[in-house]
Formats: sequence, structure tokens, C-alpha cells
Amino acid sequence: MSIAHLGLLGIGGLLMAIPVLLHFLMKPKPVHMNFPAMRFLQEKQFSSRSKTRLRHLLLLLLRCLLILLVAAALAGPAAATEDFGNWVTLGATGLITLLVGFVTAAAYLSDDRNQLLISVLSGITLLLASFCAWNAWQIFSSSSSGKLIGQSGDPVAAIVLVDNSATMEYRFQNKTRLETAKETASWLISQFPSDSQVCVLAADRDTPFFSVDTAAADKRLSKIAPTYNAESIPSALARAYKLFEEAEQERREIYIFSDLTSKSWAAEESDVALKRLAKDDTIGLFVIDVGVEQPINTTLDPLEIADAVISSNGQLSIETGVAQTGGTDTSSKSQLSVRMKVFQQDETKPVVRDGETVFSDAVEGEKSKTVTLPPTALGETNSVAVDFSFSDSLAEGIWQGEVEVLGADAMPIDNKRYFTFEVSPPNQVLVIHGDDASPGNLISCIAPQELQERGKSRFDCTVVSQSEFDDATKLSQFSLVYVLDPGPVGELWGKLKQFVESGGNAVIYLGHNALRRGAPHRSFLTQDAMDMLCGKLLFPFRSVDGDVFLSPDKFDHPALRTFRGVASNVPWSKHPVYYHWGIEREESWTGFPTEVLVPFSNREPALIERKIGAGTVMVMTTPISEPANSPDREIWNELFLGLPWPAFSLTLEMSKHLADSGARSLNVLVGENAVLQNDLAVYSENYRVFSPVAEKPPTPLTTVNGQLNYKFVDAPGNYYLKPLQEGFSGNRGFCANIDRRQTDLTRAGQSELDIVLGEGRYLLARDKNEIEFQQGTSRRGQEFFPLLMLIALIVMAVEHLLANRFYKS
Amino acid sequence: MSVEKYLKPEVINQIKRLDLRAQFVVKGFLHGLHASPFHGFSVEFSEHRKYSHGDDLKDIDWQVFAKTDKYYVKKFESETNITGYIVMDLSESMGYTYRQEMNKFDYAICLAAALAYLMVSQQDPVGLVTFNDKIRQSMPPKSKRTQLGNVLSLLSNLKPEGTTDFKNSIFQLAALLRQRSLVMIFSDFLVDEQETLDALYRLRHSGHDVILFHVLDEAEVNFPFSGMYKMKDPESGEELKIDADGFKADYIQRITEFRDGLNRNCVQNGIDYVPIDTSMQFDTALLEYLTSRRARG
Repeated sequence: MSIAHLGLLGIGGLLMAIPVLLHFLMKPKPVHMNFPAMRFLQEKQFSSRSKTRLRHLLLLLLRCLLILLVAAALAGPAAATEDFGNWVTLGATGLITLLVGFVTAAAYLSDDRNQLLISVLSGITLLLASFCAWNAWQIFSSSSSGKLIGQSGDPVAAIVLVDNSATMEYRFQNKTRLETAKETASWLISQFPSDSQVCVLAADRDTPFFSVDTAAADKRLSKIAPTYNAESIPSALARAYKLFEEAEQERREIYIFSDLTSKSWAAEESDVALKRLAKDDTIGLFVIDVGVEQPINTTLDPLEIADAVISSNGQLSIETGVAQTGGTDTSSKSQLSVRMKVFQQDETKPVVRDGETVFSDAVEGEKSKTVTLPPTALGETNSVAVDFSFSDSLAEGIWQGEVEVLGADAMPIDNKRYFTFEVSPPNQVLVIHGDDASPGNLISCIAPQELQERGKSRFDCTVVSQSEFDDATKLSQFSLVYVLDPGPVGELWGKLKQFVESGGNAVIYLGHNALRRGAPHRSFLTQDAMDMLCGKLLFPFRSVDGDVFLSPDKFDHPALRTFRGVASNVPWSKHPVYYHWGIEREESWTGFPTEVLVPFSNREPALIERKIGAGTVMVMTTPISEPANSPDREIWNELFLGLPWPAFSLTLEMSKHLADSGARSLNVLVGENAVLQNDLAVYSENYRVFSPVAEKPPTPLTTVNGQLNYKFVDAPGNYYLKPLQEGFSGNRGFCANIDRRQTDLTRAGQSELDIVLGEGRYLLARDKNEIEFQQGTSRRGQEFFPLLMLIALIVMAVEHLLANRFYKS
Repeated sequence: MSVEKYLKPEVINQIKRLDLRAQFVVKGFLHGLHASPFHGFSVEFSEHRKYSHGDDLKDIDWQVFAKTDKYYVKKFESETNITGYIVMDLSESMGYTYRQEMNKFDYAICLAAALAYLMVSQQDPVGLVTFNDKIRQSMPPKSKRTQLGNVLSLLSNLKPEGTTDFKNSIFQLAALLRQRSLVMIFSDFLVDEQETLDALYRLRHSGHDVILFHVLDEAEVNFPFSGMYKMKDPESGEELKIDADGFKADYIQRITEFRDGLNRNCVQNGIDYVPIDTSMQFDTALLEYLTSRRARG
């Protein structure tokens, strides 16, 4: 039990003496009067006087009780535990029910009973009795172990969790949200009672611990910086909650400073610790909202780079969009400038000078565009697409660039995006075709004659027939191998498997050549063949009605992304597949990660991708080398008849996907690992990694298992890898961008907070005053002020009623 | 203005002359009845007797004098002739008034005067007896018109004093009465209840008709007090400090019991009991008298 103003209770006790003193000392002087019928008074003297004394005492008691109740209410008593509070409430209401019940009974038994009064009193008694019964039911049905509230001046074990995600950099009233949060948190820490244990924690996967004192906690707080790969608040909370296991203090509080954006409060999967926290009502939970209800922000969407690897004469194509949320001027359109820069670090840069990294400021190419956005009201978002293309004779190597929306913005961090691309000679592709399988369709897809002549082709194809392929053919000099409708093979599957395992990529199109007497040739049933073909070949599926065709249903794979925007308009059904191989999947799919990328309309696999070692193999169960017609046999499909753009696009994207596999790590998200293939025959073994943060010193990086794995991608920008070994020239690099979700300013609703913290489990505040108020509410526990005032009111009414009844004229 | 207003004690109290008070009360009462209550009280000639000193000259039958040259007086006899005694309690408790307007004694005198007026008006002999601890004055009953003046004169000069000995006084009265009479007792009966009843039984035993006019002050009936009081009995001088609010319910209950007890016992013994308080109109008492009078007619 805690009392906020103990002095008031003492004063109340003293004030209670007033009616007592008045009763004994200030008795009124009697009026002298003759009264002939006095003998009747004398006869009833004893009983009347006793009754009078009883009435006096009852009224005195009620008046003392009234003063005591008012004083007690003003003193601010509160129960230390919830259970105790409930019992006190039950006791007090029970007492008052008895009192009102007594008055009701007295009114009922009275000689001159007043029906209206009795009805009113009976109603009040019934109401109070119902409340008592409900309260008792609450106590007995509650499984609560008794929430411990403690004394308001007791030291606390407190966790101060500061959301330092990217959106906390939103600037409002000339302060970022993080600055506001830190300022308030610093004030909060200074308010904690001495001997409190304080843990300051940011949402950056840091290990939570209690600082030695509040000064250390404040220092830790001051060092919190924005992170662009923040963990969610629930995740940080789940980690921090466990810290209470080592807390010495009984009163425990968690303060969460956040801008309440949805991405920060995304509900985690069923985290046991979080569920325990939601149920553990001995811990006070405070959420301090430092966010802005209706933010105004301009965002540059993530960049879509058509090809991360281009030839020196190739074209770089970038698509993106500019989105604007909210706005003050809703009457006119707004114009924004978007600028793209392309540059390459020369061999002398970057360097560290005076403790800071100095980057080359040479720009190879720059383009600007102006976009016009329609008027945007507060709370609304409008966006407009913007694209850039860049075509120049670029030297081979790693190139980097950035796209930026120019102009001031409340949150500039999402106004700039980075990209890295590689200019390299054409990919060497080996095309092995079966006896009567023509490579024409494939060649026209990936390396058309026109591009080859202009030197812009991404692929340089070497075509050999299956019979010409022999041991002398070195697969290692190719980055991609196509096998078109192979017939019975000897060592091909084993060589291909070795090639793929070592990092090469292969695409196999199965066709009629694999068929012998209605079944696959035995050379297709060896273990190597089954590994490469993603399973055991069963038999050809036949459908002459033309009701089987490619039917992709997911478009997440890079090879299928090109169809994503037009998924429902692709005329796959106009290119029927009459035959395709069936593959027994289940048995052989356990060893390698395998995925059906495209099924047929009969749900049988059409295109399968399998990772084998460091490489990838893709298998299509119907060929792309079929002629328009054949006098000797039935053709397997019409994929390349008519206007074959779907099959054309699919083939080209598959090739790009496999050829760019090494370049995919050039563009990563902040928080991801940047993994670069590093052929020691070509590149240096050791590098220094220069972060885009100029203050950050370069980090040494060594090749392990043919890869450079950089794990500290913690800031957006272009990263440079400078070779440490002599004899190797040319920088390598990659870029990192912030995940779009990290800069999403959409506010979380109360329901989202309820899911994480439990409904009614937390107190929400926006500023210092509200924090103090909510702290008071939580720390003082279950207050009895309203209850005591209610009882005082009832006592006053009863006193008034009795006094009127006793002394009615 | 209605004549009935004269039945209100506060109006009557403004008239100082007792004879006028009695006249106002009776006239107001009769006006309120609308029909004469005297229809059954016709007075008829009874006999002549020789004039003697003290007879009213107007009663002399001049026709007989013309025939006989002697003075004869007409003797009238009412159909139901009854001798009435007004018995007035003279004790000090009768002088009590709460509102300081008309005390119990004044009220009783007013009422008695009105009754005397009525009786004399219909030739009933009426006498007056006053008492406190014993009989103080006694006026023999007469039906002469001068009797009214005598009675009123005596009444107006009375002053309540002394203590009450009701039993003794009534026993004395019973011894005085020679013939069957109508005894109208005006008192607050604030004495021992059993003694009161004993005295009344004694009167009834002698064959007298008794009407009790139980005159109490308005405050003695309603107990309008609130707060602390130090009550003093005017006769015994005893004092009692009370919280009037605490005593009120008990007192009212007790006084009601007292009046009800008297009423019950009176009814059982053929005594008419008229409970009156000083706030009541006079017609209540008069009506009671007339009802009793008619019953004996």
C-alpha cells in the first residue's frame, strides 16, 4: 500500500477531531421552557435519551468517517499489488453496501416509512451489492498472481529501448526523431530513482546489459546512431526482456521510444519471450511516441537495373520511381529533379587522408530528368516512374553510380539510391545440340546476328553437335553451356555435373532424342544424368489436343520477372506443347535445392532449376529446337511458331539470369552479406574495403573458398575493394541500398501495438508530461481516490439523510 | 366575511369581553349548523307560582295580575330539563401556552362561556365549579338570564394557579351535587391517570352525566420542539434537559396513548370524551355538548 501524500492523511486525522470536539465542547445551551406534560417526557426519558445518544454517536461517527474518507482520498492511497487492490475495493464496497443496507432497513422498519425513499435506497443497495458480487467474481476468477507495483520512490530496473531505424532520421521541427527520442530518454534516465538499474538498448541487434550507473546509461544513449538495417521493436524487446532475469530491483519498467512506424512494429512469429512479456503484468510498459502523425516525404524507389553486366558497348537501363507522401501545397503540381551519375574510381582512389576516406569525384556520365507529381494531400501518396539509360564505350571493370532526387526533404536518406554494374567482354556460351536439333532459335534469342556485328551482344556462342563434343572440349572456358535435345550420351552428364559444381551454369532442353522405344534411353537414367536432369525421366507426356502449354504462376524468379507486369496477357496457350518429358521428382530432389519455376497447364514441371555446388542447372522438359513440321515425326511443341515472344523472352531471361549470377552480389541491401566471386587467377586475393562512410577506416578482406565475403554492409552507398597485392590492377566494388521497407513511414495502429505488447498492457505517452503522468499511474498502482470519494459521497448522503430524519422540524 | 371565522381561537382571542366571546362562538357555531339545533328543546308553560323576591320582573304574568291583582310568575319547563355544571380546572398547568396566544385556560373559559350561553339560552340551569387541589369556587346552577352574567363574570376573573388534586376535587364535587346533573369538566388531566378515572367513576356512580373536555395546548399534542430544551413542570417545578428531536417520537406516542386510554375508559363508563387542543375551532366542543344534550332529550 502506498500513499502519495501521507501528510494529508495526518491532517485528516487531526481534522477528524473537530466533530468530536464540537460534539463534546460545543453542546448547545438548552432553551428553558415550561412544559406541563413533562411527566410523559420523564416516563420515556431513558429510552429517548439512549436513542438520542445513539443518534448523536451515529452522526458523529458518520461525520468523522466523512472527514477521514476525504482526507484519505486526497492523500492518494494506492495498492501495492493488484490482488490487494481488488480485495481493498471489495472490502470497501462491501462495507458501504452494509451501511446503505442498514439505512435501508432502518427506513423500512421506521413507523413513518417513505416508499420513495425506501425504493431509492433499495436500488442503491442492490446496485452496490451487484458491484460487490462482480468484484468478488473478478477476484476469484482471475488467475493473476498479483501485479507488483511497489512504492513510487523505489529504484527500478529499467530498459530504455530506442528505435534507431532509418525512419527515425525524419526531421520535424528541426530535429530528427532520433534526436528527440534521445533527448527525452536522457531526461527520463535522469528522473530514475537512485540505485536504479538502467539498460539502454537500440534496435540494432546489440547485446542488452545494465549500465553501471545512470551516467553510463546516458553516455550509451548518446552514442546511439541510426541504423539502416534495424531489427524490429518486438525482436529487440524479446531480447531485452530476458535481461530482467538478472535484475535486482523488484519494480521493472520498459520504455520504448519509437516513431511507431509499421515496419518497426511488425509482429514477429510466436516469440515465447514476447508472449511472456505481454502476460507479465509486473513489468510496466511505456511506449513513447516520437513520430509524426502525417509525415511529408519524397522517396526514390529501388532501382531496377536491366543488366548488371553489360558489354563495353552495351546499354545500361535503370527504372525507378519517385513517390511523394503528403504535402503542404495541395493546389499545384510539384516538379522534382532526378539526377543519375555514373563513375569509376581510378586506381589511386580511394585513399585515406587525415583519417578520412577520400573518394574520386570524377564523373563519367551524368543525366538529369524532371518529373512532375500531381498535388498530394496530407496522408496521400503519389508516385511517378522515371527511367534512365546510359550508353557509352565504357572500359571493362566495375562501374558505380547513383540516382538522386534533388532538393530538401524531411528524410533525405531515401532520396538517393546506388547501383553498381560490370562492363565485361561477352559471355562465352557453348551450345551442344542433338542430332537433328537446330540451335537457330536459341542463337536468335541470346546472340542475334545484328548485335554480334555491332559488338553489343552479351553472349558469344560456340555451337557443337553432340557428336562433335569430346574430351578436348574444355567446359571451363565457358560460363554457360546449353544442351539442346540431347540423344544417348556417354560422359556428357558427368562432365556437365563437374562443370556446374565448380560454378558453371547449364541449361538442358529435353526432346525426342532421349526417347527409345517409348522410354528414356538408359544413358538418361544414370545417377549423374538424374542429378543434372533434376530427377528420373519417366516417359513423354502426350497431348495432341493443344490443351497443354506453359503456365507460369509465380514471377519472383529473375528469369520470370519480365512477365510480372503482363502475367495475364502472355499468350502461352497459343504455343501448345504436344509432348514433354515427365520427371519423377520426389526421390531425387532431396540432395539438391530444386524448384519448379514454370509448370505446364497440366501441372507437370516444364522448367526446373537446381543448384549443384557453386553452379546452377536449368532443365526444360520440352525442346526449343523443334522445326515447324517434320515429315518423320510429330513435333513436340509450337513454342517458336507464330509470334514466339513469350518463349523468346523466357529463353533470353534464363540466359541473363545464369550469366549474371556472379554479378548479382554487386547490388545488395544494407544488412546483407556482399559475396563476390573472386577468381584468384584474375583478381587479387586480399583487398581493403572502403565503406561509403568517410570516417570509417577501410577493412581488410581475404578470399575464402573463391569468394570475398563482406559482412559489414551497414550503410547505404558504394563500397570499393582496392587490391592489396601488387600486380593486380582495377578496383572491385559493390553497392548497398536501404531496403524500401526500412524507410516506410506508414504508422502502426493501436492494434499492431496490442498484438506485440498485449491489449491494455502498455501506457502511451508523447512528451515528458505524459510520461510523468503515465509513470505516476503505473507506479502508484491501483488508486482508491475515486472509490474513496464515492464512499465519502454516500456517507455524506447517509449523514444528511439521518440528520434530516433525526432533526426534522 | 364568514361567521365561522369566529370559531377560530386566534380570532376569539382578540375579543376581550367574555360575554361577547361566548356570543360570537355560539352564533358562529349556530350559523355553521344551518338548521336550528333547538327544535327539540321547545319550552312549554308549566304552572304559575307566586312572585317572590329575586324573580325576574319580566316573568310576571300580567294577565293573571289583572284578573287576581296578585303577582304570579309563569313557570316554564323545558321538555328535558337538565342541570349543568361547568367544572373548570384552575391549576397552573392550565395557564400554559406555547405560541403565547391563547393558553389552555383561556380556551377552556371561552368554551365554557359558550356552553353557559347556550344552556342559559334554553333555560337550562347552569352552575360553575372551579378547582385545583380542591374546589375553589362554586356557583349553584340557575336558569335565569342573570346567571350567565354571573358565570361569565366569575370565569373572567379566574387565574390559573396552584397544583392539581383532581381526585380530591371531583370527590368534593360529587358530594356537593344533589341531583342528577350534567358535569362538564374542563381540564388538561395532567395528573395520574388512575386517579382521574377513579374520580370520574365516582361521578358516574352518582348518576351524573359527564363530559370531559380534555384541553391540551397545541404544543403538548404535536411537540413542535427541536434542539436542546430544559423543560420545567409549572406545578411541581421539576426540570428535565432533553434533546427534543430525540424525545419527539416517544412523547407523541405517549401522549397519544394517554388520550386514547382516557377515551377508551370514558366510553366504557358512558362518559363523553372530547379531546381538544388550543389550535382547534370551538365548534368541536360545542358539537360534542349538543350531541350529548340531544341524547338526553
